[in-house]
Amino acid sequence: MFYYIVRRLASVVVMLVLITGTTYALFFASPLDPAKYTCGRNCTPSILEGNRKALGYDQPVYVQYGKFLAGLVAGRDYPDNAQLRTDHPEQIVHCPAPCLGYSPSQHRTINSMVGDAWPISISIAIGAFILWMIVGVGGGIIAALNRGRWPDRIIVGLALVGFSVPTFFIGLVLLTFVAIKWGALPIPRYVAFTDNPFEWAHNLVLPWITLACIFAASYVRLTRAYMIETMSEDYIRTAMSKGLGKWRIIFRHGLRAALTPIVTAAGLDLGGLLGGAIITESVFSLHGLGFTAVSSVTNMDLPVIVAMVMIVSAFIVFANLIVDITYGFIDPRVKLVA
Amino acid sequence: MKRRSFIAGLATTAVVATVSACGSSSSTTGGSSAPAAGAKGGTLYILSGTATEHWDPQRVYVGVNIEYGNRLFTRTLVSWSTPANDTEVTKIVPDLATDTGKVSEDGKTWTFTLKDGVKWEDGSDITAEDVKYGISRTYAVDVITGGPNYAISFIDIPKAADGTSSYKGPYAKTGQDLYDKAVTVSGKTITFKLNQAVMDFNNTVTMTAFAPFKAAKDLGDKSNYAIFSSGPYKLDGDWTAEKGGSFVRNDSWDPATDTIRKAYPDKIVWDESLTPETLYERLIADQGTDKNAITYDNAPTTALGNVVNAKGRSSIVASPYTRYLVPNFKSKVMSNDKARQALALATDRSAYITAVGGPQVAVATNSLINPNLPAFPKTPLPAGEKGDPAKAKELLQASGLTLPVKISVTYRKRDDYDKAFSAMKVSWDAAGFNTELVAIPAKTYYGTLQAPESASKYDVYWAGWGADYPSASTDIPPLFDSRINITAGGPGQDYGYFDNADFNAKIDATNKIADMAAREKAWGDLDVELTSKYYACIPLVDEQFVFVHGGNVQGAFVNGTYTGYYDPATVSIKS
Repeated sequence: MFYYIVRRLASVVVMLVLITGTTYALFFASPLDPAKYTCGRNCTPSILEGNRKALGYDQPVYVQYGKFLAGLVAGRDYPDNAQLRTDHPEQIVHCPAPCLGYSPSQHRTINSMVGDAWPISISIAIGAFILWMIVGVGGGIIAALNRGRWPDRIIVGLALVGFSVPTFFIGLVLLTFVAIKWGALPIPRYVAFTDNPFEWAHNLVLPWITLACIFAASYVRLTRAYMIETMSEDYIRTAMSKGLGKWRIIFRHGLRAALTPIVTAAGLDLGGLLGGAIITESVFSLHGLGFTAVSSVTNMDLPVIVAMVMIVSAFIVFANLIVDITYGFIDPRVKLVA
Repeated sequence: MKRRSFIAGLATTAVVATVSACGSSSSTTGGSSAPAAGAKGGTLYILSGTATEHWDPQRVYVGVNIEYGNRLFTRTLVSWSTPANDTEVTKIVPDLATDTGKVSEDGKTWTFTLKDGVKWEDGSDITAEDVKYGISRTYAVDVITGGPNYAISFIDIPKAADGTSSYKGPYAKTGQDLYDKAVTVSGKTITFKLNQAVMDFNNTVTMTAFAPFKAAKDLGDKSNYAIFSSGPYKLDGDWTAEKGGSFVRNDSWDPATDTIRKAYPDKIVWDESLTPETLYERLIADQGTDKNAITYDNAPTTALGNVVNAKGRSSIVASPYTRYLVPNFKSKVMSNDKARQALALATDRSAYITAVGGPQVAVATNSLINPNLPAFPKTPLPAGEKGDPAKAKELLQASGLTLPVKISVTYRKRDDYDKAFSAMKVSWDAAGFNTELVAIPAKTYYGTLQAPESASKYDVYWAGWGADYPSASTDIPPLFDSRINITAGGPGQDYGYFDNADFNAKIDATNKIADMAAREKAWGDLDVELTSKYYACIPLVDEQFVFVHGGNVQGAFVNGTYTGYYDPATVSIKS
């Protein structure tokens, strides 16, 4: 197991290097000039050139990429201007390792942006994840055990509705009616869990419901399908004939086997969400990683785009790794070969 | 520029009468709160979906940030008084200075003296040296980017061979002696020597680019959001881009030195993380803390139908912004006088207005100068709002060009502009043009126009403008004086390369007119020449602003003279 994890971690590093390198290459292959996005309306050729130099966009792509990688390991100073560093060191921004870069449009390091944004994205993702797993898996089990009867039909029908309605619509309806018009719940704003756990949860209820709706719907269908399939397996029939209790059969033998594909999906979904729930964050104006990513694309803020791609990729890759490791514990049939 | 302005602070009844007669000045829908004595206390919420690019005073060049910065934490030598309703013309008044400035007879030397008792948030005195240092930062164009360049244009410092100022700002210090000669300090008095007569230079210094800056607090780009207050509020914690920040009272501010700011709320929470749609839903619903909220975001089209539900809490006023088309004089087609005239005649402004949201949002115009300025000439539309494609076609046929005449028209990418330009294309094509529409992303729009290579690519450009302060001297010269705009590096803001020696001479003559009313009239005459003689500018619309505020807010009035937004200096919260 140890060697397996080490091997996977090494592949994660290679993958992240490849992904960030590709992002750099794609960005510079586009016909857009990133320096223009930093210039404003009073843009003169000399200001444009000055900005290009200060941001390092005048250097070859491989040099910029090399500096980015070096910054991850050793940190960096901004702007990259030796004269200014000597004459006015107070104007230099130091970005400690692992330095993800500096955003010219936000006038701060990306580490600081990510530092502000990640607790928001994680709070939304974790709460929504718990909600959709309870509702989705629970609903799926009930539907599977009542296959063809009214509980099954109601749950599957609701799941279909939940799956069909877009996230932004659910979010806007909840925000407009529940928060703004009725005032039943607060208009979401982020309160740190450490500051006030109750307010943290109270403010995130609507984003959690919004995000959980669409995921819960698909987990209902997923769980139902796998439970029905598992419950018709020979070993379940054997367990029944041996006189095991109904709930023991369902949870110990049925659900455990059905969980493997659900855990795979859940791990990847959660990994993706940790990188930011773009629509939910945008609807509720919560500036998590998803919102930051969209904003960086709109502003053509290259350093932020690269950092966001790397962070999102890292979450997904690590989620994949955790899922693979978890398999071995959930399903005894799966064994890891070092 | 990005900024706006309006009726000269030199408010006179005649000016008001002129503007009213234009029929396009500010109006209200039942108006804002009735004038009421403000009460101290409470928290004011400022809700927005517009990210603040800069708070560094020398970098601020957006109208709302100039006004809100000035009212909350960046005092200037001179500023604008506060209005008692949405239509009041406010006037230029002393702020940090003891008066509105003294000018020499030739208009080239201006002197301001600081009041006693004006202080920074750390309790230290605001000095004339701080003012001098603040303005010097404008010259560090490699670090202090984004702000207006009036200091560079007006202050008497020789130009280097490449056309830039010989003074490179306080960090490089190159040419520091030249700056020290042009801007002198004696005790509390600061004197500016200008390279030309600027009779309204005291209007110019109302911009925060001319605000003091304490040298010891200067961190270059790191100062962008590091607010160091000279006003009634100071930043509590950090300012975060796209999120905002909170302000609390600045105990070092002495109300006895300030006749402008009432500073009623104890605290101000600025949230710029919202979308305009959401914030208008909230303001119209008027629940919870939103009752204590104002906004500077114009109501989105989707909210216009519901603004009626905010009775007594809404304002519909003329915005400072005029949208116009600029023919490119370097293009083969648009260098033809008749082709430009045909384009002007064929332009269907009604289609544009319908596409952007109707008459509540925009009003047709044929003047570059905004109706809120005293110089507004109210030039009649050449062929009504719909234009006259048939007459335009006759002109085009007489132009010597072969029909259909291919033209490419650029505009800033936006959903409603897509519709507006598609609709106007119909009329242009009916006149004999073969119009290609080119939508350019907002962030790079003006940069693209200013790129030298664009001169050979496009024929007509869309553009927008709002005067920087209430004088048409911030309309005509910045946009159509070729001498200050066109260089080998591009057209500057004279996007269409309009370069006319007669016109430039008239600009010089107008600048020298000492009498304000006569000077503004002369700017109006130049506007008419641009739009009806040279067809160097085809004005489209004057935009309107629609604002809503919360039910507990008192004294929220639009200061049209200053920038066209609610003036926070008089806002209070009902107890």
